[in-house]
Amino acid sequence: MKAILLSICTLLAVCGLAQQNEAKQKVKWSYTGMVQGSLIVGSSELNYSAQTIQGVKKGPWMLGLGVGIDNYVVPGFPVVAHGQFNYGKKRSKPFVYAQGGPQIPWAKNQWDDKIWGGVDQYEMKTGWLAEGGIGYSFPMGKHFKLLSSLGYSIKQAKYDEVQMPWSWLISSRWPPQAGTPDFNYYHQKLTMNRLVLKVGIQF
Amino acid sequence: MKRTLLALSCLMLIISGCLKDTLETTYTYTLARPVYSTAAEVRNSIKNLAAEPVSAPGKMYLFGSYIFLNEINKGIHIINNTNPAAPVNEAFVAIPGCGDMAVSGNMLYADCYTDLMAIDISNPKAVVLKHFVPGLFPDRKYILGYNAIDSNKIITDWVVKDTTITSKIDFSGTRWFGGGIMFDSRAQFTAFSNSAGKSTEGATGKGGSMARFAISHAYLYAVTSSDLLALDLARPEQPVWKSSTTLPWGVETIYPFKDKLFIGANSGMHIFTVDDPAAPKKAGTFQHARVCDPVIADDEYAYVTLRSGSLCEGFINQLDVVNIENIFSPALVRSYPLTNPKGLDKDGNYLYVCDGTDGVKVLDATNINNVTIKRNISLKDAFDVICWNKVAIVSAAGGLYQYDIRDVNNIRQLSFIGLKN
Repeated sequence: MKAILLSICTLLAVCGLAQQNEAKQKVKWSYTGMVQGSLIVGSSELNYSAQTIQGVKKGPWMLGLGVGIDNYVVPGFPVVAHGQFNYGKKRSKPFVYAQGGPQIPWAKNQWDDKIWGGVDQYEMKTGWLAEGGIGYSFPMGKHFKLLSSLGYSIKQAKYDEVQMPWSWLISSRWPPQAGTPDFNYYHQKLTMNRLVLKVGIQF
Repeated sequence: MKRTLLALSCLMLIISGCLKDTLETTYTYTLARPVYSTAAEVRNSIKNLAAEPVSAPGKMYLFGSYIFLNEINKGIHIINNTNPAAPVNEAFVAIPGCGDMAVSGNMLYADCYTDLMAIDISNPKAVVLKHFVPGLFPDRKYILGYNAIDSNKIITDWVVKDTTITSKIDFSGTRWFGGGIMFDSRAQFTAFSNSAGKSTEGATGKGGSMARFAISHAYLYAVTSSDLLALDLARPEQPVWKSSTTLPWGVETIYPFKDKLFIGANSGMHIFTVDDPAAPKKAGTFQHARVCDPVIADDEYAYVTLRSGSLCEGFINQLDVVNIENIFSPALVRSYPLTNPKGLDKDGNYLYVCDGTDGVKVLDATNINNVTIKRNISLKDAFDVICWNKVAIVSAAGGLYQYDIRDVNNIRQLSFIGLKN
């Protein structure tokens, strides 16, 4: 895991140094954005995510902020800072990227049907997501690029698993108040390691 | 190009080995080890102890100048309330598994797990167990979710110790989102506690609306979750079980008024007549949504508080005023929204309602069709209230409070018995 992250960082650094050695051109920051959909592969399941990133670009660099939905196991809305380095001067070119930030859970609570869902209920907390990868961009007309990338993503969901007393099981279906002393709280951290295959458009 | 593809393939192979979801769980729990006693030891342990600080106040019962305050599952505090401004915690009667009580003459009737105890309190500082009726409350064999009674042993205490553990396992659960994640099951450790209270007036004293015991017509009436029990008190020191009347499941409280018993249950309020005290007869039922419902009554109206949450189902929180002039056909007059009402009592035209986090609400019920909030006594988790001689005695999470209610516009706190730290 650490080795992969180190490799991505090193790659970004090398690209940055390479860029410094290239012919110096006067380029300005300009707006850019991208919309991507992705297939997520992990040990638990195959699922999807989607995100949009809005930011600025200058030369080979792109920096931006993104929001999206990540539906892998514990659905949530990641809010990420995104950095990308495009390698080379051709219109079709490879790139590396990294992004990370908090993931806001889809729902604050999950109160399962007590009969079919059992006595365990959940209170969701904000988790986090970090991702890095490589990709390739293809020109699509004058203003668009087709992006394709493969990344390694770590998502951590945090939640409290609440075990209800049997008295709740046989009576109330209504969600009880949090913090009720008779309930048992398990503080959970679910760390998910996934491969993310993305396809999108940059404009 | 081939080299690139080869490198990518190798990278994929390495990365795929890292695709593992893990679940780290941190749990702080209280490990409770039961302390067993035999039934004989439990009965022998029913005796006076020196006055103890209140730590888990439950139901209360007013008799003469004494307040009997239940220490949930532990016993009963005997508080000399000759001067409500300076009550004196005089003694503690240790009764393991006690949650309800009633007093008549010199006899205190209290539950002790599944049994009923008759205790002579002629001298509150030297009580004597006179008699017991075994197996009267089968519901009470569960303590902290466990069967507290086997053939001859009873769980009378728990030795507790806090422990925090962290575990890390490979996650292989199913999805959340609409279906729930069910990947782990652990032994449940549950706890429940009884409420408390009681309600009869005159020679038998007065209890709260949360009571499960009531004394009327020289009979002790007790409700389990599905039965109304009648015990003859002709010989007060030796109650004799006379009858059991099956009720719909979910019975919570009993309130005696004149020749009637008002029984609060999950699904409604039942009215029984005691023309034959040994065999109460059901007269009518006022049905309502499935919630908890302590009840009090006077000649014309019954006042029922409905609350949701915890053991109670539904999500209704209100006061129902029910016309009971025709006890065979009680009819709702009007409902008034409340926060999470529990015990209540009435003094003159004013209702005193323990209303969850709002404290005790004083409601002007002069016009039953327009009950209004007169004022609010701020208290944390007020549980039950008894009004007597213009003093409101309130059992709350913080302890036992007493208020001077002679002037409803100027209610003032007289005294407070706080909890043990």
